[in-house]
Amino acid sequence: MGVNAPSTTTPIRSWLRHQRDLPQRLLDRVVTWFIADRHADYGFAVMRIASGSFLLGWLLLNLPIASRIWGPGSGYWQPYREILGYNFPFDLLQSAGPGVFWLWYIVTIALVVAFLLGWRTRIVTPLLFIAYTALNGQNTPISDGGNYFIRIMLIYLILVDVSRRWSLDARRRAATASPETQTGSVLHNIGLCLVVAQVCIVYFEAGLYKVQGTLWQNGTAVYYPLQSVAYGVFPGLTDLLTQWTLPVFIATYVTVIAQIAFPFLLFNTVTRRIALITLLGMHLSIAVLMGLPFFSGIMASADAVLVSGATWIAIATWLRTTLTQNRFALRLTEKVGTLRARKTAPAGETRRDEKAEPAPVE
Amino acid sequence: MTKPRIRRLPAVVLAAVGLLATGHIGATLAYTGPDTPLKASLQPALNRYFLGPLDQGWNLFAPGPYSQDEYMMVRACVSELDACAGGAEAGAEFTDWHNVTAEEMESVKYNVFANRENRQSKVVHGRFWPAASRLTDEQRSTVEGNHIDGDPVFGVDLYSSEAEETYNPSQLSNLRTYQRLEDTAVGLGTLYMQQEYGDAVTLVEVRMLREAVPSFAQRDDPPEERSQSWMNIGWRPAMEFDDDVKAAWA
Repeated sequence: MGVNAPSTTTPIRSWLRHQRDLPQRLLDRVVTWFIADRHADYGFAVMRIASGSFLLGWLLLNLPIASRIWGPGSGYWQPYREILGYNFPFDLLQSAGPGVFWLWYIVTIALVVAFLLGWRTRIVTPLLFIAYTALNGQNTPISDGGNYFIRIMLIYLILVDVSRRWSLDARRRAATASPETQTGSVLHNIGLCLVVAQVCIVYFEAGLYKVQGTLWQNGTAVYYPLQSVAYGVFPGLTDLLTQWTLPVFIATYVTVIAQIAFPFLLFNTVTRRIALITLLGMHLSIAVLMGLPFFSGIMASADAVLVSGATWIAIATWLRTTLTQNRFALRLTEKVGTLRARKTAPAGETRRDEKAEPAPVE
Repeated sequence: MTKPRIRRLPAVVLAAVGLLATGHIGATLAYTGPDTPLKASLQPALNRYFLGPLDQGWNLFAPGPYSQDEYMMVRACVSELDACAGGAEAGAEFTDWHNVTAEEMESVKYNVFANRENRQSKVVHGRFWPAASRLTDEQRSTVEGNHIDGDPVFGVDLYSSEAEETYNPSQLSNLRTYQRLEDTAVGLGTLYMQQEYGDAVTLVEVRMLREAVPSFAQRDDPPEERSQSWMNIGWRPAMEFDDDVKAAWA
């Protein structure tokens, strides 16, 4: 073959030849992602603690009137709720008397506390799903979007190792050094995919519905609920905030754009941060101005899985430093340390700062 | 670095659960999304799958934002049934109208952490209104009439074969949904009035009112009277509840 003979391979053909094992490499990458680690474990810890706290707050706040809205007093909903598809075991409360109802309610609170603390979550999470869903099914219309959202999330969280970090389970596992199984990791990561997909669906579809509404299109939509009796919790404040056109327009458009764009903004670290901060701001506004703190809190808590573990560790470290390294905390620690030293000093041993009694001569 | 190898059981789990999860997310996207031909073609399977614990909807404050105040009002007849049937001339005693929602909403003002008890009549209103809106004019006038003898409001048991012959499936479905929500509204009205008048409550009448929030353009100079729309339920016998239900409302 001559030196100047033209090559028979084109760059495209050569590239294709090199990519012949691309499907196999992609499959390997996907499989490795599912088995090598349990992803977003710190994010799930934050989600567990935050959503557990909001659920606990919700149950405690409504405790004085629970019998009326979910217990026997909710019997007036029977013609409506009996066709909603809440079958066994979710219909157990429909014919329950006050004794069974209150037992169920207290057990639900106990399960929420166990979930929040990350205690035996492999068992507690499915039980909490059943307990909470049955309670919710008693009076679905009284629920808000947050109640719907956490009910769906609890189903996915059954697959997830939610107590891998910052939990009682994590402490116990560290002591026993029990190994993690591949099957557990696969289920955990599928659960993560479901949680992220659900979060994306919620925001994307909420935005998709909004963009069809004329009041969302003309940039005045956020004014209306804020002026209603049901959602205008602070009438004076909302009057002030909706006085000018520009803030109303910006709030309306930012809500729609952030919700529709949310799934697409997740692909890049910077845009993801912008999306999460924007939505956190939106949730805070809804919580305060519309009087829906549990709805907003539960929705926002799921966003935690989209924040990296490194960021959560940095936030936790900063929090710990802020809380423990201030003057008050240092003084308190010093006092506690002194007290503990006095208490734990063995009998007969003289403390350093005390003078020893002279030993008797005989 | 050695590549981790997947074992047989995790591989099966990944394939099976992964497939189920993908199907579930696809179904969720179709079910919760706007109406499309694809969504229509997947019915009624989609509705059946998302019945109960999987039920969800994310059209939050959309496409139209919440732009009205909703009120449920109730009054009762607190005399014997025969006297109530004869009206005031027969010596029947009627209570004033109670704006249940307005009374409940008092605890919402300046209170971010108000409990859910203050939303009961509002959510009954929110479910009842669209169901009543689907009735024909003739059916609307029927339900606004008084039906105090306990006979079916529409003159026929909606779960009988006679009803299936009288109405087409879509109409019958609308009527059944309406009836369930009317019973719920009358039930809440009964319990609410029984708190004050006890077992003397024999009949209740319920009205639903919607008042539009002034438009954005009118915010500085709102109209003196807001535009109102009403949906009324005529007089109905007080709902009967067992002692546990009554005790919760005592």
